[in-house]
Amino acid sequence: MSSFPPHSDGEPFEPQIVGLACNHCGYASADSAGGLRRAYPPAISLVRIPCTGRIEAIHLLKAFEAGADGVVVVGCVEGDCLYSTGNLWARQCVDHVKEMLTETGVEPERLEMYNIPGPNGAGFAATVTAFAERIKALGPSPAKRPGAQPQEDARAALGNIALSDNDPHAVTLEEGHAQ
Amino acid sequence: MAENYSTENDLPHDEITGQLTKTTGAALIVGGGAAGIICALDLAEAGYRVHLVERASALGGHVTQYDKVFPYEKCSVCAITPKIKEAAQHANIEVLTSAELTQLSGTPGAFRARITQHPRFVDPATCTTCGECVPVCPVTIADTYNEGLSKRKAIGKLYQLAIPPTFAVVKNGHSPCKRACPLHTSVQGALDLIAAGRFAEAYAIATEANPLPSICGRVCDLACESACTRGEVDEPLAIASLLRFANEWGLEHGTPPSATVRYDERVAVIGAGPAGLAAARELALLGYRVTVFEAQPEPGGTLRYAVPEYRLPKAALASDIARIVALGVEIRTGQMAGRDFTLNGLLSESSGYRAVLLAVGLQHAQRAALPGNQLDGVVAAPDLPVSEPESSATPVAARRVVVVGDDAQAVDSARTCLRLGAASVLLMSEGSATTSLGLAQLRAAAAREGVTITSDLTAVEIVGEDRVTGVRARRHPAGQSGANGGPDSPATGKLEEAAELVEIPCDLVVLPVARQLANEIAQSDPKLDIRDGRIALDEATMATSRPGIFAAGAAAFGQAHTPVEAIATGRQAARGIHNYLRGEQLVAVRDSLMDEARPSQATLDHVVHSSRLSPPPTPQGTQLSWQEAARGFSPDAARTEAQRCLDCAVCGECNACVTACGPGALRHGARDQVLEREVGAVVAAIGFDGDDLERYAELGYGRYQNVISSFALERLLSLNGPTFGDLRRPSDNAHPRRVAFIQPWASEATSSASGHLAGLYATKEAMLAAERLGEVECDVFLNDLPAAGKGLNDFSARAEHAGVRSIVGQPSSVEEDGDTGDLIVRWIDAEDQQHTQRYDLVVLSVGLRPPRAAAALSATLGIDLDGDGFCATDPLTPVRTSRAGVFVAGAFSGPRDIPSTTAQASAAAAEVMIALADSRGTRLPASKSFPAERDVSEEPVRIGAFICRCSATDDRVVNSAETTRYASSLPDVVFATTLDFACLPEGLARIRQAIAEQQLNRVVVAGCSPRSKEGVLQGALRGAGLNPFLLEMANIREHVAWPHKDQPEQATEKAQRLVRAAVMRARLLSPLHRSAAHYRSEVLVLGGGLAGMTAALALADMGHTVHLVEQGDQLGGRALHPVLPADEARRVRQHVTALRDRLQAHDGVHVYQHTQLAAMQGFSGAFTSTLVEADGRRLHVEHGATIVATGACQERPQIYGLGTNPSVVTHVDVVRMLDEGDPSLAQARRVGIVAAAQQGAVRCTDASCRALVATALRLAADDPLRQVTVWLPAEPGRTAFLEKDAAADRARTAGVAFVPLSTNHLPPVRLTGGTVVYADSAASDEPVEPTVDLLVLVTPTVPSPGTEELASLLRVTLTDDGFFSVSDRALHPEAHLRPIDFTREGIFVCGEANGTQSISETLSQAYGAAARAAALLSQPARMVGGSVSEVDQGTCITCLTCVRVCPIGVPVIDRQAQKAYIEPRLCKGCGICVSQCPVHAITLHHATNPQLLATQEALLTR
Repeated sequence: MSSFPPHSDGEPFEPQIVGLACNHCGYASADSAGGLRRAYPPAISLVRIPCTGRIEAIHLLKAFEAGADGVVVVGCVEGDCLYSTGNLWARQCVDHVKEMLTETGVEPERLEMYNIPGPNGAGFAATVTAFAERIKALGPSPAKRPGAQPQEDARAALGNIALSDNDPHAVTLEEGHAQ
Repeated sequence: MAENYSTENDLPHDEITGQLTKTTGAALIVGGGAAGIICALDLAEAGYRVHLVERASALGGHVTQYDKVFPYEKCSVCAITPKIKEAAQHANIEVLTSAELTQLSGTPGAFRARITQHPRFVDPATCTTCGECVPVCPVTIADTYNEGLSKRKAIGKLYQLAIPPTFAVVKNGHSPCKRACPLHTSVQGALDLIAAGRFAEAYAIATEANPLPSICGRVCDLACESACTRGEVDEPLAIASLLRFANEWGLEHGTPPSATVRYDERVAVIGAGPAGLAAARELALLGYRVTVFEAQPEPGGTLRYAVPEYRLPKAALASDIARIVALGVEIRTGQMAGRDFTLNGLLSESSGYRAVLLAVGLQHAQRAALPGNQLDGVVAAPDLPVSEPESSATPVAARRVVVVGDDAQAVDSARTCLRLGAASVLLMSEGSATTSLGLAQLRAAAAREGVTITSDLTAVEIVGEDRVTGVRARRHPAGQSGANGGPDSPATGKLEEAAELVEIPCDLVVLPVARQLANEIAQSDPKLDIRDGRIALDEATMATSRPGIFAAGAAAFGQAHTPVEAIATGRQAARGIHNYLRGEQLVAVRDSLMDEARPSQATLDHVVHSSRLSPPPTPQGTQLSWQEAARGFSPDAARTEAQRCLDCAVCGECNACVTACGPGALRHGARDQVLEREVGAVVAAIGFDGDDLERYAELGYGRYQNVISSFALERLLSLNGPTFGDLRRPSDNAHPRRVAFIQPWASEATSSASGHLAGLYATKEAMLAAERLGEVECDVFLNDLPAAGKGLNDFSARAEHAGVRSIVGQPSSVEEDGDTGDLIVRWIDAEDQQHTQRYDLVVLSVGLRPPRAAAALSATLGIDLDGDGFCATDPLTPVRTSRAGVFVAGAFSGPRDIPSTTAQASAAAAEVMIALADSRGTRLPASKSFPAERDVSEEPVRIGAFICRCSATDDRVVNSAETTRYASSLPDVVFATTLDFACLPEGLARIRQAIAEQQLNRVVVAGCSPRSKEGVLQGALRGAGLNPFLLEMANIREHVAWPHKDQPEQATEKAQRLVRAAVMRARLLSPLHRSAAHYRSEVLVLGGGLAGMTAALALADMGHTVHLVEQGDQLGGRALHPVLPADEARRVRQHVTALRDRLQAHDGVHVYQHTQLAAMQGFSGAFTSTLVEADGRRLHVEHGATIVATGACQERPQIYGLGTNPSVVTHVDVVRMLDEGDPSLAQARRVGIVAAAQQGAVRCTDASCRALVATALRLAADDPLRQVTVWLPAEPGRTAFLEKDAAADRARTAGVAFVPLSTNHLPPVRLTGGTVVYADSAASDEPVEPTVDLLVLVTPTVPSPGTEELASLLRVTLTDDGFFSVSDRALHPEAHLRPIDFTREGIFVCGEANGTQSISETLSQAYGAAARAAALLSQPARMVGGSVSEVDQGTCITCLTCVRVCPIGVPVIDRQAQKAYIEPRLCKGCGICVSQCPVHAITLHHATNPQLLATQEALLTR
């Protein structure tokens, strides 16, 4: 687990934001934003996934645990999902994790799902810029407090709903050589 | 048209086996829009080579311009882009963009196509699509892709996501100025750069072709300004002054070019005049060491010794020459041929010179042969000084001078004489009619200085005893010439008109000279061919008769050769020498020019006039100066003047992009290429064009800013449009609140169908606008109310709900309120009432017209067009043209929506597959072979990281060196390096090399988006024996260098973050393998009607075995008795019977009658079906695909006693009775027809209207005495429709009475015998209609019985209406592109099982379904697997969650294991089942939890 320097008031707060973006629209809209040279805060970086329907609660919670001040999910417009319903499942998952975050004392506003079509680079840049502003206003994530364990808290609060019993991190190192 | 082939090689053959085939297994598709792409994909999948020819620089056509696809509202770019990409990357498809078919010869099955491909001026193999060229391009043009709503550069892409992604240059030929300049200086390019204030670059391009830039406008003929298009509008640009400005600016601030010696051979140039100097510079730039030998003490030739100082300052010439010397050119002056050196000596072994250029000019001068030319006081023009003489006493002083001659030198002589103190100067010049602009300006300057110029006198004799006393001249009749100084001017006015001859008194005469090659040169080498006093040469190579000796300039081209022309031939000779020395044609000797570019007349008409700026005049002095008179431009004035340039050629070849392009992808010299392709068939899919709205000026188009076209609206609404979907009106950027939609052309629509479609289209646009804008009122002006049609049942209702109001009426005028920009629309409604309404925005629907290229293409292909100009087709062969082997798809055969277009595209593919059945798979390109994959399972992870500098934007944003250092510090990274261009061949080679040398087993490339370059880089891994799934990319271009270009520090930090994430993920990657799955080629067709039979026969003709299952007792279905006018019905019946006969005789078709499908197991490629025959016998059939063609039937509502009362029948019944000659019909003297449905209301659709009319016509035609009454619903739109319908007209003529009903309730009817029948028991008190013998109910088409059971058996869904349809794809963006495919792969639908449709639509879909099935099953094996989901059956608890959530129904419960199973060939890899599985039993390969979490954590680690 990485350690984070405590936030001091002297330094301007640059929120760390990670995005989970589907290959077909979310990630593509970021590509379009680049193509159009639309600026947005560099602190945002994306993980490319095949479809937002792949997202599980654990991904979102682990992101906060790893130090994200904000997490975005970017998928296709509802009705335009290449896999028909993937973005609807993702929406459900995001709503659910928002509840968990509330329970653990993390502001649910730190997590958001957006539906942006692939060609809309301008929309991507504007959307994530506004999201970054929101996170900036919220300040550093409470999950970064020493000893905070959002996943454990969520599990305690919600009774293991939709959370894996395996610690994926334990698997990580082994699989690196096993596969 | 047919051509005989001369050799066997031209005959169709299998390219692998060499065996002859009857046909060529390749197809040419003209048009790369939706239809072309879908057709290409179907054919390519089915094993045909496809050449896809598209006129634009990218694929996609109109669809990509739309915001949403009609009628399903899906993001069009999202929908079509994956298909375009698939086509562009398909191994069997050759995409030829910017190309046109120009000729088609040969015979069906063995055509030969000639294609002209226009250059895009950017090499696709080198362009990395980095876009560095765009900001530097100085030419801004209206973006026609955005309907002119935004601007773009001359270089760029058609649109952001254009495929192919290679940039393209818009270049309409060469500008007139460039063509006119003997040096072909890129004048427009230089002006573009000056206009942008980029003077250094302007200097570079202005001097590129011109080694002596000082001469521009001073010594040249100003051909550029004469040719300037702006001269036709107001005044030509001051090009010479502008180029001179650029040159002078460059002398002070610019960097002159430098040269590197690349070759050992030395070249000698004899003569340092313009030709010699130009050649010397060119040779030095090419890499040679050059020595110039000059007889005179100074270099410059005529420019120095014949052009006076005040015209070309010596200092300016000297600085030009100094720049040539700076390239390493040695100039030896005072070296005379024959005296100081000889040609033989130069070419001897010891001297080291391997080539000699003779650029010696014409040294031998002779005075003009005029009587008296030897008198005292006669001087030759070259003898006058060119600079201020040291002593002021000259023989000219205070004399009266006559100068004879009509060239620049004569004008110079006259002006020089004035400067030398002449009392008066008369220039006797004839050449006024053909004077160049340059000469005219010189003469004007001379006239201003006081030279008297006559153009009507020809000197015939110099008069005098010893000394000159005058010149006798002949006067031409007035009007024959008339330049400066006519007969009335003071100088000539005092002359006496003595008949024809006049004598002009004078003291000094300046005569021109005739020039010849100097004797020394002519005699220096006897082998040199001298003709007419000049050196003979081969102009193609610039070589003389003696090998190694070349010539240029006046010595080779004669006296009339101007200095500028000499420069041009000097450069040519240099290139000729280079080719000679290198032994091949390395460079073009002559600059090849494209056609002259010219802006359109419309553009010229819209130019705002402005006058030409001239450099400020010299302060007036009394003394005539030897210094140059004209001064140069100031930078500001230069920019202003340069901005007047009209950019005739669009791209002016300023080379800014060439300089900016890292990999060197620009090819400005590219020319049209002619390609030949052998093909068996051709598909024309060139779509449609928008009507020209300019002609609707009365509706304000082109006059008012807020009157826009519907195409423009599409772009404004589109998320990839100029405003990113934010609709604002052009005049003030306000969000419009009231919008009117008008179809200006609807009143002249050729068919009611196209008018109808346009009405729907306008409604759709209004709806989109309404939805996008929120509270907006949209009024749609329609000719008639839209009726419900297929897939559009709730369309109008939804439109109304969205706030769209339909107004029936045609607006007569639109006027603008000048203060607000609002528009006032006037129209007259059906009741002749005048209305006026104010709108914020008016949208004119663009009528869909035949494509502009239709006429040319129809001539090339030899196909007929219909009356409207669309491709002519027969409803029974909807995709065949009038020429065998040439098919049509999409809107080229008439306006249609996207689903119909793409269904037709597949149908055309089917026709091609049938036509070329014997040559399938014979023309496919050899697949790439890769080395065997290395087994890396036992190896420790060894990662190689490659950082692409191109993606890092050349270190200006991301510091690639720092990022590389960082990468090498990451765990398991054993090798890290920077690459210039990771995706270009050399980059890929270095990756392969590193994999081998460093034994890498994971590769991380930090480059551009994996969405564009993953495939290419995976190829590098495969080439080095690594599994392609061991690649991971960090997108440092689209996600870092581009959006964060202004924050290089943070960008570098983010790049490192992404590289870290890629490395962390790469550590967890494992190889994935695709395996070959065998697909059965048999097809099961359900339904033996027209659709089923057509599909079955098509597949059988392609070579597939077909099982055709019909539950009834005969094939043919409802098409045997079609409800159509008699003649059409007869044709359909004949067609169906012929089809049935062929089908039953075909070996490949197994027909099962009285048989039903009981069960179907398996999946795409491997289905097993159970069929039950009438006797209960069960059969098992194995097949790869299933086609549903179960048709539809008529509703039989329980009204009027239908079914119990024999006098009440449906229209289908009555048509069958007519066809079969039922005797009971003879009794029916009076027939009433009414459209009826179960609900009790008059059910009205387009289809029912057509059925009403057709039935009435049949009944009336059957018995002329029969009285036929049609009761029409009380619906104004319907009445209007029937008023316009041609068939209804025919019915009226035949005596059919159309009686409107007062309400929409079904009328009570009195039958023969006095019975009154009511639609239902709760009948109204309406008056009873007249008595009829027979009541015909036109009832709606409903799904066939058993449709619901079949749907559940096939695991596909139905629409609300109960039809099979693409409805289960309603949520899917591909729905309209694949209207025949069910989401469950391998099952297709066609015909009326889909809902009501025309015979032609049914046939298109049937062929389409056959093509889709063939595309799926034609390959013996398909590669499946890879990044797909896999169930760990040990963990699975069989909860069915995955079965439930999969959007395409892939997971099934394995019967033996009783656990979930996911077939890898079907899984599309979305991962929904993975995320929803409660016990984490499913893994999505390549997107596993450890991989995702490692990436995510690495991105968040500081």
